[in-house]
Amino acid sequence: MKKLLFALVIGLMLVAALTTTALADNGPHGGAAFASGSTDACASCHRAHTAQDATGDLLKVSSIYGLCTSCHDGTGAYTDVVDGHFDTSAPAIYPWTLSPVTGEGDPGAPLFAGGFTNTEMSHTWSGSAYYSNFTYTSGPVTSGHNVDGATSGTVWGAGSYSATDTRSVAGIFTGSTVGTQTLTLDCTSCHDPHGYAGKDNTGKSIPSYRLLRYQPTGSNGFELSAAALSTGGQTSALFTAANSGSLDQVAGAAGGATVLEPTGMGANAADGYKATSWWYTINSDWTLDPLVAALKLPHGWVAGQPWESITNGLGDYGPNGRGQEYVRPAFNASVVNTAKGYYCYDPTAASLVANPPFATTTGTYATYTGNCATFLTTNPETGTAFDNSKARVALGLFCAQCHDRYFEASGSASKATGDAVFMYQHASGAATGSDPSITCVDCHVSHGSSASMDSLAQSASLTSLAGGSNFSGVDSDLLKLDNRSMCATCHGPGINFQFTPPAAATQVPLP
Amino acid sequence: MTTPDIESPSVPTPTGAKEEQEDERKRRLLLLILLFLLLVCCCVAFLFVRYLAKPQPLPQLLPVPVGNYPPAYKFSVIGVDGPVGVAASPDNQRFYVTESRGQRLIKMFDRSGNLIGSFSPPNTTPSNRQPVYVAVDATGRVFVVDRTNNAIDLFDANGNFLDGIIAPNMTITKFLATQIPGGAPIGTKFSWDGINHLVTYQMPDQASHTVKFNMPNTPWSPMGIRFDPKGDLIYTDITTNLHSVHIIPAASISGSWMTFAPTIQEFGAEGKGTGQFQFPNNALTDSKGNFYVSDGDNARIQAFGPNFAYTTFFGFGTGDDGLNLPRGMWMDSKDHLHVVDAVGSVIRVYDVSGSVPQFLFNFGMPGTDAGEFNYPIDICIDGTGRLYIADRDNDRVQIWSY
Repeated sequence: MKKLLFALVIGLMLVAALTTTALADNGPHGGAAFASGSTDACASCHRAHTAQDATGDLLKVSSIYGLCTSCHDGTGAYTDVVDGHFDTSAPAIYPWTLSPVTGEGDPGAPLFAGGFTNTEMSHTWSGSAYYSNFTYTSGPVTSGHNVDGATSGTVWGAGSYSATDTRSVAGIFTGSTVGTQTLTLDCTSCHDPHGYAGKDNTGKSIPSYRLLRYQPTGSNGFELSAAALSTGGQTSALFTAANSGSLDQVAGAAGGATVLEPTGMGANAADGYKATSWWYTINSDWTLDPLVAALKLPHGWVAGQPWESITNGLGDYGPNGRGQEYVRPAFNASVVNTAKGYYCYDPTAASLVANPPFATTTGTYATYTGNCATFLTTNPETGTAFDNSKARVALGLFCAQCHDRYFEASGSASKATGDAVFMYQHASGAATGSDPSITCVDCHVSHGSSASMDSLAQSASLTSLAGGSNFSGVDSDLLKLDNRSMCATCHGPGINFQFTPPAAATQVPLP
Repeated sequence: MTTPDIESPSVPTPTGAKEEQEDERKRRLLLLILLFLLLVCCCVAFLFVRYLAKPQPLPQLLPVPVGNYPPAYKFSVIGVDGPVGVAASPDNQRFYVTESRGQRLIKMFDRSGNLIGSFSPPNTTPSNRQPVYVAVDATGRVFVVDRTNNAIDLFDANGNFLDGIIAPNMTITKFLATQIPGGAPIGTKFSWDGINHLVTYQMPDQASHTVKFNMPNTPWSPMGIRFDPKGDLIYTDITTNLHSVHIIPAASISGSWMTFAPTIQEFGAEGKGTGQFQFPNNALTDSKGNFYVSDGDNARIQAFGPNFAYTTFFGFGTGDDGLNLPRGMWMDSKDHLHVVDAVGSVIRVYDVSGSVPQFLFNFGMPGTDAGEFNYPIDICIDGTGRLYIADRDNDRVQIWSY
């Protein structure tokens, strides 16, 4: 009986087991608040013991691009870098709306840097009325910076270009004597995900524009001198993010030139500015402290580029005295001349509006009326004219830390640079004195372009010499417009060049 | 000579009777046990026969209440490019998936995971559309948020485009009614270009027209969408400084879209504080009408009462219940809230049936193997207890089941 009962109990257990299903699956430990403002946030991306990436950053994920685009695909941030779209809902806290290429960077408009999968651009140029061409089309990227973290790409215009030309700026891609330099990029190569890559006028770390680093990973910084070119005797100091906090280590260089001024030292100790912050945080008052007087390029020294500041911020990271500001580059500096007043892009008007109403409150974001984002031309602190053209030059410096051989000053079109390959060049930001200069971001995007190129434009591309780009194979070289429309936007009006589409061919009957 | 002992004849003694009674009791007990086992076998046999006659998931044969235990992985559906949104039809026979890469289509599959169709907003290319979250109403109509065009597109169950909400109180057909006397006639084709704010339409046998729609100065940036049990459409909006939750009444959704004029209720604001959101990706209700918001960039879930009054938050911080980046959510029939943690690559489940939300369990883990996730984004549970999870960077939809 006992045996029978025991068997029955077992049997009942088995029967009961048939009706239940259960699989335990314990998820991983971890999880942390995102953007909590405390060290708790570290755990949102890092793992001390179970990291999945090989970068050495102990990331909990294996794909940095995947992690970043978890938000920057439009679902968690206004800057959609996948499609190169600046979310419609974002307000115009970047009020300097002046670009002949369709108001890029404006709310609801193409992202200034473009996207990595698609980019919104204006693919047509309508002659002198290019300001009014605000119809966007989105297309797949044809060239761009590949940031998948796995693909090695050529750094064009850098290092030793050929076996016969091994010159390079000291510290930038040195060591290579043959061929071009290569890099493998990810988002963090240019952007600091921690966000505090800039410095204010006290040396305190602050957010920089678009979280850009002082120098892209893989580059080795710039050589700068505080001695003006005109005085001669430049002595350089390799200026990198590493030594930007202690430039006194390189002070006292021979030649009588004062190298870059560290915080609290030098002739203008009260300033305490740090030069790297100017590359995109615009924190210097040039009249007080001409820190960047000369730049050393592969072929020699060129004059530095002064720029102006606005304190008590307007801009990205605006108020409360952060003192830095990014002014979205204007395409053509002459248009932003303060004497001409300021211009406004009204997305509903598809044309420039002159002298729109403008309102601002010191220490807060600039405000605007209606649909018209206004363009600041006067420093609200000092009342002096502000030439925003300088700011974009700072981005040229950023680009040139990798693409250094492209970096040239005004006049280089007719004055030999000394570079055997890049002998005569279009100015690209290494400007002289107070002249505004065109720079990289005036013609190129940094993420990706959807510009299309026909045969001549493709074959003229430098990249075509080495086998093409990493994207569709169309060598659009991250240009903002199709073919050479970028040239025409400036030089078109001065050239008797008809852009009228040819009339449809008439079919001629065969004899 | 001794007289052999002669046993007395068997006369029931008090002790023997007792033993008999005991034996009788045991026999009866045994009989009861056997009868019980027979009943169980009959039930199993009945279900088995019924299953053979009409194969159905076990829960439909014998409804299994969703318990406090994780679901089980079943299989994955591939052939989707960066899936981000997923929704099931009300008859549980198909599910819809939005793609964030490649052709960026909305794909529909049958219950077995076979592709049965795909569709997209008309007059769009993969470069100028971005379908994200998707929801299906009780009649089977498919609602898809397009982030690039800032619209909630409406399709029928087979993917035919019907209309689109292009502003809080505007649909394409309503706008066309202002352009075409009497409204667009049957057979009119129309499409929406949300980048340039253009409506293109073509009436039957007539030329195409493109008209500019002047966007009203009202917040409109839809992100996540869900339906509550009443049929109200709940969508999250990420207009800057106005991150919020909006509710379009069911009557407006089910009525004529040509006269679309809903009274939209809303709550929330942008920020990190109580009742504030940063990129709320999803919002839905429980059985009592309480609201839950997937507060993405604040890494938490916020709860509100039926009257939109803030009640609590949960899922914030480290630990098994801590969220990295909450995205899609789903509420099951037991008021168990399933939250997709995109960066955590795991699904976290909370019991919100009581007055205080309780963490129940996680399921899944980061990876590429079966049952592992790689930036999952969205989840839905159909009426049979089957879970669909958009596993974005693994390019698949995972099917689990309770």
